[in-house]
Amino acid sequence: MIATRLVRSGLQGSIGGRLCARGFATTTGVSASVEKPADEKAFKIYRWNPDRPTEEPRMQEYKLDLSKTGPMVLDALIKIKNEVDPTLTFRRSCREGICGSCAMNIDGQNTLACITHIPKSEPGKDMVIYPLPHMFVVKDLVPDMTYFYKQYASIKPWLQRKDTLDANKEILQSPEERKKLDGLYECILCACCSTSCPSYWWNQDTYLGPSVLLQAYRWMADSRDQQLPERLSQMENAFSVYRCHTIMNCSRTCPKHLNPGLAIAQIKLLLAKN
Amino acid sequence: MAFSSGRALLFKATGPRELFGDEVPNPAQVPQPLANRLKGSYHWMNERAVTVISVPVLVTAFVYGAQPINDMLLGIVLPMHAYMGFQQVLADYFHARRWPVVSRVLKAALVGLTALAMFGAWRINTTDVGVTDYCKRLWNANKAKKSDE
Repeated sequence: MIATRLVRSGLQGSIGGRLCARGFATTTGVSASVEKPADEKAFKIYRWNPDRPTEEPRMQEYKLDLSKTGPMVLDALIKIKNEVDPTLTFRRSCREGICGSCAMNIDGQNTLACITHIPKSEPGKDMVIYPLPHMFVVKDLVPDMTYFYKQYASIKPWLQRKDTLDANKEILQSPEERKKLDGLYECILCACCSTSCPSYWWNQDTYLGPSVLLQAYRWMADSRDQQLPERLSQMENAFSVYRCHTIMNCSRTCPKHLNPGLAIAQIKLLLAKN
Repeated sequence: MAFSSGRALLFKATGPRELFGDEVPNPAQVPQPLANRLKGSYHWMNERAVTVISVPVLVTAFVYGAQPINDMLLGIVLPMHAYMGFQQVLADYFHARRWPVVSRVLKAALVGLTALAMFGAWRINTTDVGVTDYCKRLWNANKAKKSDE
């Protein structure tokens, strides 16, 4: 998974750039015929280059004409990369909020650049973009997600059965049992919630964080899974789940409008009951 | 220009662990502490229990006023509640892996101070006016001082 992401960001300069340039040629053509007045906005973006590790990170300002830019923050970033500064590095893939690649801190809020509008109400206000907070930075807006994925793997995010089933047979679920997974299965692991959590900032190495805990609960709540006791005993320590102090930044910031805070509360409830 | 692994390798050589050492989580492993209900769910439930018990005790002290048994409970429940709260603070900010010595000193200090607070409350309850009236006296200390002048 990590290899794919690295390759994806590496390819940004070559294939990605050309594809997007073609996409934008159409947009520019349309706006040129309408002759909209220039609507300038400054984007202040965090820059850090691993090739020069001794240089301090800095904020670089880019000015864009919003009448010639797409409506989303990701459109602005792609426009900057294509037309202003090709060295700007960020992850992006689906541009519709389902891959979770473009998670970043935009105007103080962790969110997905592709589904965040550039606010039209305050045209004079600069837009400030940082990578996800408290993550090691690979380059510019690209955080190192290695440990986050390792934590995700540690909760064994797959269906575990004690019995051996016929491989060609479905495991049936009632509509009520299926309903328990709503609000959990939609998580795209963008890490917006985990990196907004102060507890995760302080104890990232031992606390699993809201994103991974929501996934842990997704498998605990699944009626087809048979390893609930093992999944729960994995949480029976001071750190994995109990570093959550219900600060609720996670539920507030989730770009998919899920509620990781509630999922953690459900885990605590299961632990207290069992 | 194709994807070159050269940069990825270069990054690895100056990765966060190389720059900052053991403070950085090791991507190779996620620690899995042994399951211990006393550190997990039992500890969490004890915290809630102490919080829930402290509500009627405090309400009695505020509404009914001084009462010897209630004063004894106050002297035990409140230091315990404070102890558990500070335990969480120490776990968050002074965890053993980054503060091996400081965390041990602070943990011992917390136990000592909690014991001292309990002992003090017991002394006030047995030889003085009791915790509730003592707080009342402290609350009105300024007024009493002014009326003396």
